[in-house]
Amino acid sequence: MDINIVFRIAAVGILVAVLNQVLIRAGREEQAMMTTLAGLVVVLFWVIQYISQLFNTVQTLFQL
Amino acid sequence: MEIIQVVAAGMIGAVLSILLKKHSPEFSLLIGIVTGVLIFMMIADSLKDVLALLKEMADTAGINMAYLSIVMKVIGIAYIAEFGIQLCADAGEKSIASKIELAGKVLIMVISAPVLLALMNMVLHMVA
Repeated sequence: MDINIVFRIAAVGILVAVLNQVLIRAGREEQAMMTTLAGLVVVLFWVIQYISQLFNTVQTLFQL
Repeated sequence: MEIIQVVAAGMIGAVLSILLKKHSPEFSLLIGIVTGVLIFMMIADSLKDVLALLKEMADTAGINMAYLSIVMKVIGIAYIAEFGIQLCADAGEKSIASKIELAGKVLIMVISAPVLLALMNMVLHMVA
């Protein structure tokens, strides 16, 4: 894989943090929490795929 | 040179992780995980070459292949357990990390049981 996934996660993180602040200031705290959760779910989706790729590689390498 | 790519990826990951740590610690942790996985993937091919070299050396030295495969499995378990432990420690969950460490130790003992039994048999043979 390459470095792009790190940039994508950072971009989603910054976006979610900014939206979080904006929504909290606007008084809509539930929507702020929902955007944070949505961002987390999307990023977790990518990360879990990536980690499963890692574990498959380790399994093949060490013949577990 | 691969080491330059590895160090660059590590630096980018560290900077981005610090950037997000105050506002959303969850994303900071995820970036740390992904950077670690990325660096491992970068050296996975070289690691395969090193392991093949070790296998060849063991073959030439006349070591039983079964023992070598046990050693490699132990290294694999140790690596994955270490990955999980550092991840939990980064998240601040030291208790979960220590449970993973205990699980890793138990599993390594289970896997290396044949080696220990063979050693004991050999020693008893020599003594008796």
